[in-house]
Amino acid sequence: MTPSFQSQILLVEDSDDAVVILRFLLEREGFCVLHASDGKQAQELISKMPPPALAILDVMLPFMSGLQLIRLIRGKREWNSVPILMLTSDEAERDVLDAFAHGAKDYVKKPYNPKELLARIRNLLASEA
Amino acid sequence: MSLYVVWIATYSISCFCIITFSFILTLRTARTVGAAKKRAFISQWRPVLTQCLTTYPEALPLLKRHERRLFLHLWVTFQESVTGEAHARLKRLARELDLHKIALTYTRPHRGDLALLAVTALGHLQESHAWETLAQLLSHSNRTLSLAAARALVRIDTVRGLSLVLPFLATRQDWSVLNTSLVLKEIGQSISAPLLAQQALSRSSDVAARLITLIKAIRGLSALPLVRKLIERHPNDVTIVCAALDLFSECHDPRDLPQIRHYTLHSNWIIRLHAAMALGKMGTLDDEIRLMALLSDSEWWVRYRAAESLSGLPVMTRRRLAELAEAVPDKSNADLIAHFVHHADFYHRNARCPSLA
Repeated sequence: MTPSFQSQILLVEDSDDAVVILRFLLEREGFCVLHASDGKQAQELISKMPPPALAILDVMLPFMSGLQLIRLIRGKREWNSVPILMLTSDEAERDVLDAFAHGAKDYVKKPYNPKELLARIRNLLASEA
Repeated sequence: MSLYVVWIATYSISCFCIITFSFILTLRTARTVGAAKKRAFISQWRPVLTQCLTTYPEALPLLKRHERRLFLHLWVTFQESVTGEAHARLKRLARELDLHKIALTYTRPHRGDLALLAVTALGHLQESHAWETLAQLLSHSNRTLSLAAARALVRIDTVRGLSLVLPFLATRQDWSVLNTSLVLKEIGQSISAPLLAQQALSRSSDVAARLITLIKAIRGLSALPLVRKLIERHPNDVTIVCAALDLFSECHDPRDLPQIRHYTLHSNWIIRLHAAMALGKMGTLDDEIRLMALLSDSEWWVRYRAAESLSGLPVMTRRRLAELAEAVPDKSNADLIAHFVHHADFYHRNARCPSLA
């Protein structure tokens, strides 16, 4: 699926450098990236904005974990079907299991291969289309 | 005379104020200039590094002398964020900018964070000229730096690096298991786990247990035959047996189930405790009866873990656990099970079939 410029992605990540990399990769593919750097900011965005095409969440975040954010997203009716992709560290096997149990659709381990990340995003969007 | 004293005092205070003010002004100016230089660096180099994620840049800006430290930091951050072709392009970029030579000049331990970044960069760049420097850092008292050196060495040459690092893995208790497992994952569990187990066979109980814990951290399935041999040799060594039981429960090899079940009957309660926990992770429904028997153990912790493990058995449901709690004659043991009726994490296992939960 080729994304249109209207395809919004909510990116919740607290590391500035990681955001620069992800934003570059996603915008290059034609996505519009909305960024929140912590759980509180993400909560605010979720309460205000219409559901995006996809949400990418880091597991470890200030104020609220990625898993809590999944619960929040799944608890909101309009956002219920937004596919969620989790970014996890290599050691966090438990986080992956928890993320799936809470309703995440896929995950990518850091460090990630940019091509693989984009392929997973495309797959998620195609399966939701 | 008094006028003279007043004049001297006023003069001294004025001088002090002027010097202090000048000092603050100099510091603030230096900080502002430093921040401006950093901004200029970021705006110039971050796009170059981000471009490397997809294509190699046609022309590179000149890396100025004062930008070297900032570049090292930015490059390591990017290098540790991605894998695949982007990783290779970032390495090519660093080589072209002589980052391997720059990093080598920063490896002295007194340089603190900079030394850590330099060592990490040298590992990523597989810089063989740094071998001796990195090997010396293995025994440095700074555990973060020595572990980074270990990781860099195995990145540069896995086989040679492993032979150098292996003795330190056993003896450096200050290297955390989590961070040491990152070094072992660089090597790959299929290579490192059997070597760790081989070392464990000839070491004291404490060292052997630490090595088994490291094998567990990398889920070293390939080491299981040697670890089984180790507990055959030391069937009553509490430290070794407990570490081995923890490893078995992590690896989930059904061939270890008879051994785990056997240890639920051991005379040492700490071993029974670890066996009960292991059964919770890899036991079958057949183990319900064993765990129920452990509820009569003389040690409270064994009874508690047995109750917890009952809730962890496959296809165990809240309803079944409540029935078991009712069937236990002793009220305090029934309460232990009842605790897990309310708090056990049935959700994950029964998420696909909510009626079970």
